[in-house]
Amino acid sequence: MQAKTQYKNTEELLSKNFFPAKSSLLQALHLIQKTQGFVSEPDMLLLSKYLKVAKSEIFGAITSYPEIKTQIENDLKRCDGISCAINSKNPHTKLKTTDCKFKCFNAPIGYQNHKYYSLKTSTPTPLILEQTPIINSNPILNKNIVLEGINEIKNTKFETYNKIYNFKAIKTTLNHPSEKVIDIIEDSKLRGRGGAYFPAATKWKMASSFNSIQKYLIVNCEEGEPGVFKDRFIMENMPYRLIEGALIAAYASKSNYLTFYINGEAEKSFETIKKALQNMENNGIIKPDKTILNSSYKLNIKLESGAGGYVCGEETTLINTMEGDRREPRLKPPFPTEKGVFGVPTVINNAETLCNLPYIINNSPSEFKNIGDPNFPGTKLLSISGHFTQSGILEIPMGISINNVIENTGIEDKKNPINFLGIGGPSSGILPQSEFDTKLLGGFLNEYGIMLGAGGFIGFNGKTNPIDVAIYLSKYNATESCGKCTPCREGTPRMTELLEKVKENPNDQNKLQELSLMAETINTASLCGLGQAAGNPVISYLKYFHKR
Amino acid sequence: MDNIKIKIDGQEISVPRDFTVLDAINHNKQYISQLCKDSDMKALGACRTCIVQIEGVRGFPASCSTPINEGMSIKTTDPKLNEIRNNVLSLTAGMVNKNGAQKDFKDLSQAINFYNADHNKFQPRKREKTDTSNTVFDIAMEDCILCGRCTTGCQEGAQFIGAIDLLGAGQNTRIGTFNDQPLAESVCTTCGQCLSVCPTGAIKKKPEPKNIVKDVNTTCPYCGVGCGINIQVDNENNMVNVLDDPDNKSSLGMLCVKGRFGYKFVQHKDRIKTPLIKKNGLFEESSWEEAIELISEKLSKYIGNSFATLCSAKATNEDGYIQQKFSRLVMQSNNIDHCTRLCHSPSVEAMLKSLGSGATSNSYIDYEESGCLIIAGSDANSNHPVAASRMRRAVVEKGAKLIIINPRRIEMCDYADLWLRPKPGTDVALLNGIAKTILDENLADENFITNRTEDFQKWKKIIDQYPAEKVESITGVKAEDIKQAARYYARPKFGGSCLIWGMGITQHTNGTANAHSLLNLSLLTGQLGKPGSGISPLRGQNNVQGCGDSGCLPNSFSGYQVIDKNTINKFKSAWGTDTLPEKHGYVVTDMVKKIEEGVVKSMYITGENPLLSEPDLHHAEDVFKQLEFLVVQDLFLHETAQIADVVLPAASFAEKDGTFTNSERRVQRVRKAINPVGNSKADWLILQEIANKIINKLSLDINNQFNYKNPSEIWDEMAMLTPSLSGINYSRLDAEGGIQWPCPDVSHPGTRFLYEKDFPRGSKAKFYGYEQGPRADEMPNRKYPLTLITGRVLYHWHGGTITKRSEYLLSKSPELEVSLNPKDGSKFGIDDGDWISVESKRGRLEARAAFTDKMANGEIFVPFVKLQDHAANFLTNPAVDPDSKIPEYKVCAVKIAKV
Repeated sequence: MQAKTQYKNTEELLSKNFFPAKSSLLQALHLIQKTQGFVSEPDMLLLSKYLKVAKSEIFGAITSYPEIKTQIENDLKRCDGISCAINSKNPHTKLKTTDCKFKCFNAPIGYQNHKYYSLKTSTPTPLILEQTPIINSNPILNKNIVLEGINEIKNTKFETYNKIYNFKAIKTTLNHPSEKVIDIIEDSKLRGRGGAYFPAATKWKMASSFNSIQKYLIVNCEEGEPGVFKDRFIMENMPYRLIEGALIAAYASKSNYLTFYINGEAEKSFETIKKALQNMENNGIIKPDKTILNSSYKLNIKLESGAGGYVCGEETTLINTMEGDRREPRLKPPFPTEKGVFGVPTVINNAETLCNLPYIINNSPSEFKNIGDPNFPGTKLLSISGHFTQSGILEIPMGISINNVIENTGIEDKKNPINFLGIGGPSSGILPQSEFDTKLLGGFLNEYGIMLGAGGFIGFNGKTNPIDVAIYLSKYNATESCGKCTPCREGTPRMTELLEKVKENPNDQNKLQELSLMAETINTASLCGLGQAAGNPVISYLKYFHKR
Repeated sequence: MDNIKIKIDGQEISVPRDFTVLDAINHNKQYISQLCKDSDMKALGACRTCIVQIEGVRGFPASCSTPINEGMSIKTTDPKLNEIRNNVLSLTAGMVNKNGAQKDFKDLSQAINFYNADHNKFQPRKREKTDTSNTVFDIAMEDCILCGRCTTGCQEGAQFIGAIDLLGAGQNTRIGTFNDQPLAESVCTTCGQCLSVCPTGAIKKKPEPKNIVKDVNTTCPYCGVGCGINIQVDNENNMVNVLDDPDNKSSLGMLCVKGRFGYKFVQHKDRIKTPLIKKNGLFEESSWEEAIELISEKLSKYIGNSFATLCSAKATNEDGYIQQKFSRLVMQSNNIDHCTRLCHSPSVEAMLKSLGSGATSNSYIDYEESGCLIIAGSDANSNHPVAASRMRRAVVEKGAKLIIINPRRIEMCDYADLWLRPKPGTDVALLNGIAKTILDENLADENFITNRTEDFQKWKKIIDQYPAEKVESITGVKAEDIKQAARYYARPKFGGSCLIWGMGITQHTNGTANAHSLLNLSLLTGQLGKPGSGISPLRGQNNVQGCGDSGCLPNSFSGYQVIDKNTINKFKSAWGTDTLPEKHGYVVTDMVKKIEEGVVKSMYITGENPLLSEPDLHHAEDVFKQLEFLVVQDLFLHETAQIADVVLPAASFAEKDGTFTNSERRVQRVRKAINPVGNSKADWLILQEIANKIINKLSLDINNQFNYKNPSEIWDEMAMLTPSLSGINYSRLDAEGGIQWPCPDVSHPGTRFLYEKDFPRGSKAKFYGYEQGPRADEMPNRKYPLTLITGRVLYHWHGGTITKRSEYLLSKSPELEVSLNPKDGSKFGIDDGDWISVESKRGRLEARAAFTDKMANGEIFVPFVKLQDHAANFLTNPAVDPDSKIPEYKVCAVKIAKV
């Protein structure tokens, strides 16, 4: 959807919209790309001049952002997300591939020039049903938390949300000192839902303990792993709950900057949040002087488009791209809560995490703790796709077993039962039916690298060979590797090669040993959290599926 | 910083709290592989070969980026850890291996051998092509492990150039330039920082140095920045390589292309290897005895005012001290000068009058701590590259505002917040305009003006005539930009403000007025005498500061002790003599006139080439030929040496000991790295022998004044007689590194910045107001319609005598280039790349036309290096600034045509 050119040239585009600093780079690239479809060499030279950043550094950053194109790409491509890959049909298998487009519930799909197509039939047909289906959670969950009242509020109208919820949670919050808010959330034992399950209140406490004129709260809506689409669902269906949650978190962590960092391809999500914020401004929730409601609490709110790619979900990488640097992780320490974006204390929370906050404030920590597991209270959104009979978003209580989820929601085709599960995305691994009594909790679910992660839940029936999924995930990790550290950059492609060799000759003990060492090397020696999990698909494959 | 206790492999050690685990392991002198960690740069955490096991920590963290904690227990070896580390090393080797071919990959090979890792575990993978476009070094991607040290060195790790970066992602990650162009087409300045930090030798000099048997720390012989270098010498006494010196306090481990690759002149075949005596118009080789006998016999006839000497700002302080002592004590002449007259005499003149000292007031570190830098008439990127890197650090890393004043769009403009582009020769008006805004907007430092300056009101009367709008009409600089510059400079957001300037300020007929106008700004705003502020005339020659310090001036002894009754008595008693000349001597430009008038008849010129550096060279040559006796002592038989009666082979900086003093007043050691080339000798030694010969010949009553055994003895005498240098001696310099004067006693640490409390001229500095005079002596006219601006290029130093004998540098810039705007090109029927002539009413040169939008219409630029017999000074105007006598090198009127 190329916007009509409203600027004479790139120079004007830059001077009208952006502050001349390196941190404007990514947003400027997005706007240029939106205006003319790609970023040309003269554009890059102008950016270098305007932002006062060396040309090579501009180019270095651009070539690391997968969503920024340096030439127009007009051909139809097929989505290479895992659900689309396993459902891919002739004649479309010959199309060029593109990264997961997160329409897993419509797999297989094609993508061309900002438009989505169904590839279920031999002729690509435009996707009409873009709405993410909601899977009924009644059989397993008494009370929705994140999805509370979703059927009413998913019209995304301000009036509806305001009528039902009245922004009571933020109003209550603003009447408390921020320490009190932290106490409440700490009491609720809420943990981050982005995949790491770090206690939310602890992060805020750390950030608020550092003295700084500026503090950032970043809502991580980058959502980049194939088979996970719940943050998009949240942004597109319940923007007010997300924003309300973000305001609560920003207040609790004493942040005065709030940035929604949204996946660059999730254009609908971006527009929905943008409109919702406008409505909140129009209705006096966010005042013109940036204060919230009638309080003196001031907050600078911004939306930014992300650089793309799985690795942007890693928080220091996200920070790097916000500053106009290459899409690579930084070293820790310092941790973002001490020195994050622009060197100031920064909290990065996943969108789903924040959607729990209004519920906890409106009800109570103990009501929250009534649901789910005592150590991991609350719920989790699963993104269901693959060979299940239904695909979409499902809210489950933490701590129930996989069997419980599959059997009681009726998403399994009994004639073609689910043989194994891709769970938690490429940082986790694959789990056989025999292990489906495993309970879904935060952290590692067993010692073979299986994690719930962000809640990817991809079912595979007997038609899929597990090693192909392991190869797919390993390849994915190799493609997504940012290239900074040796074990991940060099190791993941070598690991894929080894897996392919093992597939050819399952009894080659040397290769098996090398494969196992490679997975372990990547996991123990890599720089960032994603590299440190990139060996997991292989570890779980070797444990559960490899037949010696 | 207090220490804490940690355990490494079971051994308890105590190390500073701010150490990383890697620091602690290195401190404990244990080997651990560390491919991406440069000792001078922050950890990158990319190679993952310094991984360790830490009790209670999951996985194997990289030690380079893990801080230590009290009681931490670290293991560097353990079966599992070793297996993982070796696998990482094998993966790394898989990037560069060539199917089993053995090759030395330096740090990588060392690590693989140490840990006995498998070099050939993985088949080689596809890599990008080697970039051979740079004439000095290659970037071989097939030998690269993507550690990121080179790109960091090129960027914020050191040089702030940004020619290369990591490009792409995943396995497509590569080292490259903007748009994957060849390195030679990028902004690369060939400083070699990338090469110096590369751990595998993927970036390598062509050809690679071999058979290195020793290395010597010394000081770079090029510009006045004074970088530390380390000369590597092979088994045949050849200089084969130059490295940076990470411990040098001025250069912080950086070098530029000249410092790192410009050393080949030292052992160039053109070096003069033996004394030459001109007989019947031709030079004949002679023995030292014969030459010294002849010189002393001849010079004996010119004792007194008919003798003049030019000292060398490239020679050591000790050489300079001996030369001026020889001239005053033996030759009884104060006609002593050096090239400062042709570069910064207006700065020195103005600073002496206003403040009482002609030195740079601050240090490079003050740039990095300032909130605003003004760089006026200085292309620091080309002429003081390492200081320029520190300026860029101030802007990029620290967020200082940068204001450039220059008619040319120099590279530094890329970093500037404001670029003021005055018409050449209108600097006084521009600077007065800035001052006027500061006054009008109440941005002046009233306290400073009241307590520490005088003649403010008198000056203000002049300044009141320069409102910004009027200045705009004189200079062409927008009034709003003038005002903004005033605000930035007077009220920096943090720190102070620094004024930095070069020849673009001084080499004008109104040079001294320009310099005063700059100084006035610093007095008006109190921007000197505190950290992050100050005034810096960037010095062009490695030892131009020291040459003046050691007394190579017509009006003062060492340490700027002006020649008067008191100082004459002091030096009479120190040198054991009754007679020293009392009248101030001639400056260089006056010497030329006095030769013409027949007053000066004999000259002794050391390490200077006036027949290239004087303006209007045709005229200068005619004048110097009038001398009755001329001795030239130098490395090469250059233009001036050609017309000498005797030429003596001097040893270069690499062949002798001594000291240089850099632009920030830092005295640094020069150390002998190789034996003198041919029969050459150090300048001081030659002069000492001639002095003693003349003393003998004329039976002068001078005893034991020229019996120095080594330069250290010379230094000690100078330091004893010079209060500002008293605390400095060789053993301190060897132990502590360079020391900044004033350093009055041996317990004094040296002085970072001057004028904290008062000024050498007294408690108050003085405003000197100037009106904008005529822009230049010679303005464009119908016959010569263009303004010629001269300056320098990165790859050549000064007249080019040494850089064109350094093949790496010559390969980067083999031809003289005229920069001009394409519009002027088409106006005169010239295409980019044409061979063209440039003509003034004094002379003509030929050069290659290079179109650039960096030049304004009507202005062309020619560097003053002489290449293939073409030199800008055939064109320049000998008109001088009345106060400082500096010639107007910067501007004259010319015409151009296709040849």
